[in-house]
Amino acid sequence: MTPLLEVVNVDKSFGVKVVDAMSLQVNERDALGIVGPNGAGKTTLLNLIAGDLSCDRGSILIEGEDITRTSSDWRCRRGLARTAQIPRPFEGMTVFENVLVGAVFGAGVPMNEAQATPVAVEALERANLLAAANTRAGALPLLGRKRMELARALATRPKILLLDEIAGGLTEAEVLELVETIKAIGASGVTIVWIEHIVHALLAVVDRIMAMSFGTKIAEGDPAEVMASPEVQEVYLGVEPE
Amino acid sequence: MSEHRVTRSDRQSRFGLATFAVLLAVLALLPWWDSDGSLRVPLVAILYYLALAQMWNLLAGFAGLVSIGQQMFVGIGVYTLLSFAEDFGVDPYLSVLLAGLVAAVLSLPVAALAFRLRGGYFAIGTWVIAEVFRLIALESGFLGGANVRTMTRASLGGYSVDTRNTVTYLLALGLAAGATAIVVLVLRSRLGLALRSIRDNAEGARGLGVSVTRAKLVVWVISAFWTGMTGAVILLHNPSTRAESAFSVLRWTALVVFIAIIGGVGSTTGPIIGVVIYWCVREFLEDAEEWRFIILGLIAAAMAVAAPRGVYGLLQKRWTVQFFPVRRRLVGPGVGAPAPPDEIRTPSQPPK
Repeated sequence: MTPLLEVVNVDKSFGVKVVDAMSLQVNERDALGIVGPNGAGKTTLLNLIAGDLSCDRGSILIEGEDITRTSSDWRCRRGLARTAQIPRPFEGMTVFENVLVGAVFGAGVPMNEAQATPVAVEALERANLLAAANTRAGALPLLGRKRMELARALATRPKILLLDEIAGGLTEAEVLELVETIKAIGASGVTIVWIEHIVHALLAVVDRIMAMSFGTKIAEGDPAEVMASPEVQEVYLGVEPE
Repeated sequence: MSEHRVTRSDRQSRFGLATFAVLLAVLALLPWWDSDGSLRVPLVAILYYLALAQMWNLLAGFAGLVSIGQQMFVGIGVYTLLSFAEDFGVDPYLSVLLAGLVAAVLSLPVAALAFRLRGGYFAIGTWVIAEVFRLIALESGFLGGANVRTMTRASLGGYSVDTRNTVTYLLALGLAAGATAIVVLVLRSRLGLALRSIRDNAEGARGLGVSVTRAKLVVWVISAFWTGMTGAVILLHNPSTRAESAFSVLRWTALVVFIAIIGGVGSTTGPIIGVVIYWCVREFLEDAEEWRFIILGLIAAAMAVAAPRGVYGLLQKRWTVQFFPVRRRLVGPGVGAPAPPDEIRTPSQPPK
C-alpha cells in the first residue's frame, strides 16, 4: 500500500543542518506523534512537509505523488492541512470568516460561500467554537486561537492534519479538552501528525511516536517503548513518560 | 446544518446604501436640470478622481499592492482612445471600452515584472515601468511623439457639444459609482475573503489554500481595466493631451494617493470623503494647480502621521458607521451574539 505521506531523505540547513537525512512514512488513519527537545528540528520538518519551507535535498510525497516543489496553498488544496505553533489568525475578521477561508479555498471541489458555510459551521462545532463565531478573531484568548487554528485546518477537509504544539501554553484542563477534540478528529478518519512537548497529551492520541534530536530520527515505534528507550531518556533527561 | 445562514446588512447599512442610491440618482439626473453645464463640467474631474482613488484603494488598501504607476494605465487609456477614435475612426464611446481592455491586457506583462518585487520595491518598480510607457509614447511617431494631440470633431463621432458633455459626465459618474461598486462587490466575494485574509496574515492564508499571487493578479487586472477606461474619459473631458500629461505621475498617482490617504485607505467610504475634500481645496484654489498639489500633499502627509486611517477612521472612532457592509455574520442555533459593526481596518503596518 502506498503511504499517505512520505518524507524521503530530506535535508534542510540554515547554516547548520536543522533536518538531516530525515525519512518518514505515514499511512492512512495513522496518528503519529513527534517528540524531541527544543531545536531538534521538529517544526522545521513540519514546515517542510506543509510547504512553508523548501527542502535542500530529498522529496516529499503525498499518495505517491511528488509534491516537493509545490507551494503551501497547493498542498492544502491537495489535502494537507496544518496548525501553526504560533497561531496565524486573520485578526480583523470574525472567527466564522477565518474558518470560512479554509472552507472556501481548501481541498476538494471548489466551493462558493453558500456551499462552504455548512462546512465552516461543522468545523466550528468540532472545535467547540461555534458560540464565538461572530467574535473578532483578534479578541480571542489563547485557547480560542488554538481552537480556531484547528477549526480553520479542519474546514479545509484535510486528509492529513499536521499539529504543531497545539497544546502548548494551555492549562491542564484545557489540554484535556483539546485532547478529546483531537481524538474525535482522528476517529473521523483524518490522519494526524502531531508535534508536542506535553507527552501525556500525545500518548492519549497517537499510536506511534518518532523522536528527533539534532535533525535526525533517534527512535520510532510504539509510544511507550520509544519514550522508555535510553536514547530518548537521554535527550529528555529529567522528563519522565507517564 | 442548513439552519445556519449568513447575513451582512443591518439597519445602519441599509440606510447608508439608500443614501448613496439617492445621491447617485440625483447626480444621474443632473444633466436634465443643469442645462448650461455649469455644475456638470467641474464635477467630471471630481468623479474621475473618485474612480482613480477607488482603484488605487483596491490595490493598496486591500491587496497590499502599493502602486505608484497608475499613470501608466491612464496614459494607455488616453493613447488607446486617440489611436482608435482618431486614427482608425472607431466610435469614441466604444473606444473607451477598448481603452480598458488594452490596459488590462498590458497589465499582465507589467505584473510579470512588478510582482517579483515586494513592498517599497514594488512601488518604485511600477513607477519605473510607467516611465517606460511614457517614453514609448514620447518616442513613437505613430502615437504623436512629443506633440500635443487633440481629438478632432470628426473623431468625436460628430456628436454635438451638448451631447458630448452629457455623455462624458454620465460616463464619469458611471466610472465613479462603478469603481465604488466594484470595490464593495470584490470585498463581498470569495476574492474579498482571500484579500482580507492575505492582508491580515499572508502565510496563514496560503496555509488554508489561498493562492496569494492569483488573488493579487485578479485585482491588478481589474484595476488596470477600470483605470484605463477612466484615462479615456479624462481625454474625452479634455480632448488635448501629450505624453507628459497623459503619463503624469503627479496628476494620476500622487494626487490620487493624497485623496485616498486623506479620506481613508482600506475602507470603501474613505476615497469618497477624500474626493469631497479635494473638491473643496480645488474650489478654493481654482487657478493654482501647483498649490493644490502642495496643500493636498501636506494634508496627506499630516494625516498619514496623525490619522493613518484618514478622515473616515476619525469618524469611525466616534460613530460606528458602516455604509457598505462586507463583514459576514453567522446566524443560527448555538451561535453567540453578533459582533459590533467594524468596517475593515487599515493594517497597523504598511502592506507588504
